[in-house]
Amino acid sequence: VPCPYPKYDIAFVPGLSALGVSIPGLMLANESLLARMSDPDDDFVANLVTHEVAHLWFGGQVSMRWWDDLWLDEAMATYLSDTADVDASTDPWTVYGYLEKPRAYAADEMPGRQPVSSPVASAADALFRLPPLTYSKGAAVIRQLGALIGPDALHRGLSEYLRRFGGGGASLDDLVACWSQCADRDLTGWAGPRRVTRSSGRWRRVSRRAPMTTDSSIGCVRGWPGSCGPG
Amino acid sequence: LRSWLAGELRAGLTVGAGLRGRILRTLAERGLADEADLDELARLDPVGGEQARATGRASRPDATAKEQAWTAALAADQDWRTALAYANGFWVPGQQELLQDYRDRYFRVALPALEGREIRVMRNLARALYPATLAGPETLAAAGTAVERGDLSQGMRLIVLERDAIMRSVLAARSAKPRW
Repeated sequence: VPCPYPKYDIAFVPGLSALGVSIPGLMLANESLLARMSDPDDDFVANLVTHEVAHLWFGGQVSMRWWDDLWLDEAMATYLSDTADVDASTDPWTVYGYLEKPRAYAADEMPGRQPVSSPVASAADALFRLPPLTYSKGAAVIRQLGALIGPDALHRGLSEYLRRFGGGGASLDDLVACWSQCADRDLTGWAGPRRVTRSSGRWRRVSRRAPMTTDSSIGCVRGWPGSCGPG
Repeated sequence: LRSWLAGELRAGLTVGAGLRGRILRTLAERGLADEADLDELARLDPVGGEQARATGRASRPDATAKEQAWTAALAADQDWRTALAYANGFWVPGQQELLQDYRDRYFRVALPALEGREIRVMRNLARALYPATLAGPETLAAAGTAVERGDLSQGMRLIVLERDAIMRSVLAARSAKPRW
């Protein structure tokens, strides 16, 4: 799916509270990134710019119907930028593994933790979600789907989604339908049933923390599958 | 550290803007950096020097410096980067005695004052100004009272609960018996 806009400018903005913001045709980037770009060994800005470029499709060409799916735009942009930065000096998924994912684990321990996807009443509610859950845990969920159906089916599903809903709004259910079609299997179970209770343990629309205890005598974490052997 | 600033580092190592800011912050926390040292930060680094100076100023173990930093961090017309830089230097381990009164000022005055600010700015300032170095039952009690009293938004309550959870894990770690 080609870039939906004829041009794309980058403006470096002093005092921008975000690192980057993408709107059709224009990326706003935090001025502080200029200093960081001067280090040739630092891939951070390249990764961030790729993330914002991904928003031309996910967030720009197809927008969320409601703020529930804000995470989906951010998770897709994070997943795609980490997948696309093949020329980076360090594999972006390695950086993700040691910098971003631990932040998501930490956020999952906080009282403000929420499911990756759950209903919100307002834009403010969506924006108040902990960013590591929206971006990093969200990207982990997409990556897990890639492992389940394969990267080809994942990308074909994204293309189908952009073709079908380009220029309008869509939801997670629409995207899951495209993935189901391209993977030739019903993925509604992967994304969770439409209405779930707090006890069903799906990543979507429920928040659940498994009880875990450490057992230092044998060096394992009880409650972590496989850590302590059978049982 | 002074010798590092003067350029006496091992061959091949240089003090860049970021390291200079950290060194001077460490000195400032101990009352070993003066205003001229901190002004030098702003002069040498056109990108982050102003913020490094603000953090250094806020770090000093001095009641007047703390009062000025607190006011600067909460001023509604302050550039948010400068406000956050002051906030980031405020709570320094070892300065608990000097900062006792700011626990109450955080929960009673700072939190309501930050309501309504842009979400990222509000979240960052509310986290940075939390009395993190006053880890103990009085701070836990003050946090509990703040979330119960009903004048804070849900988003702000979540920030307080989050900082409270971190403080509880700090206290749990400190009170745990060493096993080896």
